[in-house]
Amino acid sequence: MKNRISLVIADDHEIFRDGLALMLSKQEAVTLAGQAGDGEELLRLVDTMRPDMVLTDIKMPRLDGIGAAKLILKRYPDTKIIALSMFEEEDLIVEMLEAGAKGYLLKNADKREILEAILTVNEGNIFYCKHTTAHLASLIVKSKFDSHKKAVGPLFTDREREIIKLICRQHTAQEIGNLLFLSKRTVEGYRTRILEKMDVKNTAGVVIFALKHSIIKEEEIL
Amino acid sequence: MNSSNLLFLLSTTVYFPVLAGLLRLHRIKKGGYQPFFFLMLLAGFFELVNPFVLLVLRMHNIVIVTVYMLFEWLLIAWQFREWGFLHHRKKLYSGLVIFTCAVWLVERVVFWKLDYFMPYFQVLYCFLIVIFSVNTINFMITHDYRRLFRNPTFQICIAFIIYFVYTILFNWAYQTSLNGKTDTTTFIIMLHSYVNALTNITFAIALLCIPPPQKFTLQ
Amino acid sequence: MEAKVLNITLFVSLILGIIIVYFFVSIIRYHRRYVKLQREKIFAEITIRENERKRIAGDLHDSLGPLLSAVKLNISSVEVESAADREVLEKTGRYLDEIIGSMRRISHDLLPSTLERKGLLEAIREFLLQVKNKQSVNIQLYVVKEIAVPKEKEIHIFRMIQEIVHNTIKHAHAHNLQIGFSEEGGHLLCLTKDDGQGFDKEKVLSGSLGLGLRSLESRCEILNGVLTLDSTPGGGTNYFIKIPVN
Repeated sequence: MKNRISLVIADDHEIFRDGLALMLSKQEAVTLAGQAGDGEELLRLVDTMRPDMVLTDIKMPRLDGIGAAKLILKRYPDTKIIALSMFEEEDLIVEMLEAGAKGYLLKNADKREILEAILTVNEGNIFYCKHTTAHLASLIVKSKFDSHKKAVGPLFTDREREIIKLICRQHTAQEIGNLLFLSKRTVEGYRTRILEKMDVKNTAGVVIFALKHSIIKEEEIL
Repeated sequence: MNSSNLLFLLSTTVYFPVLAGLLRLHRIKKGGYQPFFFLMLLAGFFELVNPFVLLVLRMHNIVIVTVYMLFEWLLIAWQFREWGFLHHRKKLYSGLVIFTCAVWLVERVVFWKLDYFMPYFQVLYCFLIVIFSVNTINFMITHDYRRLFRNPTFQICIAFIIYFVYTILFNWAYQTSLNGKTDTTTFIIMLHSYVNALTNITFAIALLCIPPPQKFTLQ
Repeated sequence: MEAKVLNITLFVSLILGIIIVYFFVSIIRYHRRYVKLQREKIFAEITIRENERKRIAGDLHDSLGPLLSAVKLNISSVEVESAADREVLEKTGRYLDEIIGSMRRISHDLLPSTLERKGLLEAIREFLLQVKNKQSVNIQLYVVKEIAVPKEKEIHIFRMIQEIVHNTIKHAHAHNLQIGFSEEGGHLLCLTKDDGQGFDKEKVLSGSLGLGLRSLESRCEILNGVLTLDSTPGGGTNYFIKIPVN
């Protein structure tokens, strides 16, 4: 049986923090070890509780998420950090990733996605929020952040490349099927295979991978 | 009609603004045009006294005219003050008024025996009034005044400029003619009555154009 | 006696000359004072408007944002039995996503945060990228020389570029728009060129294009800059802006 993941959250907006804490406390897979209202409080909490994972807001008073992340990872490099972000903070998300965060969530993510993020990052993988905009994706690709474990990109067939492009352009499986004269189920099968090959969990991951490995160009999806 | 009758008719135009002012007494008080109205009354009074002195008393009217000029200057200067002229440089304003009065005094004392006019005080105060008026109308032109030509201040200042510039010219003609009359000087001196009449009519129109007082004004 | 006449004549001419000169000098002085007053008025208006936008964008981000996120979180935490109820909750969640998306767009339109964080050129690049995919004009940005612009001027220059781009898209029916930035002698130079249908400057001053042009002029004025507009019907439109940025 897996141990419960110990988790610390930090956010300067009390309303959101309370809601998140409440939601997490109902989950069996995690233990909420503490809540912080700013970066310095977060550091103290991490020193005391030594959690497995940290969910932190980026813009906070006194010490922001980026600074806190750098300090935490210097002292406890095994800690896994997930960034929480509202809108209008895309370049800050990239800075968090460059500072060592393993994933990010937009604050309007729902319960399912938050849990998925926690579990994915706990296993050592990178998590991209499914609400990632194309602009954010291109920022991530251009940054110093190493977006994938696999050093060399796997090869894709032409058919797969076509489908990757259409996925990046936000088409549903049905639409892709219509455009390529395939059935919806076939498309979904392709999609699963693509996700596996790329080792990503959602469309956002596909976009980032495709941009990084030049399967698709920025202008084609923005 | 002969020329003296014509001149007499022209001089009666001085009563037009007096009448107009009597019709607009309330607005004059509220609009800050009192000094100007007093000037009109003074001019009307002068037009009665002057021929009386000349024809009945058969005296030189130099004293009366110079005293009249002093009061004309003082009343107009007061009116400009009412209009807010040199509001922020009170010292300059007081200095100018006192200086001109001093010139008048000196002129009176030095030249009291003469039976003709000296131009110094007159040219000085005409010049100053023209400068004041030019200033005022330039201010009004460059700021957002609606219906400029219907504005009584504007009309009065234009009339001042025309009249007092002409008076400076008149002084030149008069002084020159003391050494010998020429056609030009005679013409200019003769035209003065017409310019005077025109100015009086403009004054009357200006007084009639004074707007009723506004209840709330930020003037 | 002749000399006296001459003296008097000269004296009177001098007086009249002084009056005429004084007339012109005073009218010019008053006019300048008036223009300065107007400029200060416009500056105050524009500054107030920008401050207001900043405040609103901040309010959206700080007050409404967290509340909406919390609502979404709470809704997704509700455990329901029936599939129909779950459907309702999911739909609500999607609506909330839409609201948050709209708020993001509104906040961005009011005041792009990139402007403050990364500066003018980055913000313009981002803006052009966003505009590119929504319509058909091909916009190219050339930066001959990177220059530093004082913080308080950045927002105004940004708004001017926004206005020019919007004008081109809405009115010019152009295929290409080129925007170039350069620097010369302590001045920022911006030249834009489009191959659209141009317009007649005289006729345009009423109507929405005229309004936009006037606001361009106002902003340029308060930056102490110069705006030159060159446009002929059928001949495209060129804007040239020169602003001191010492």
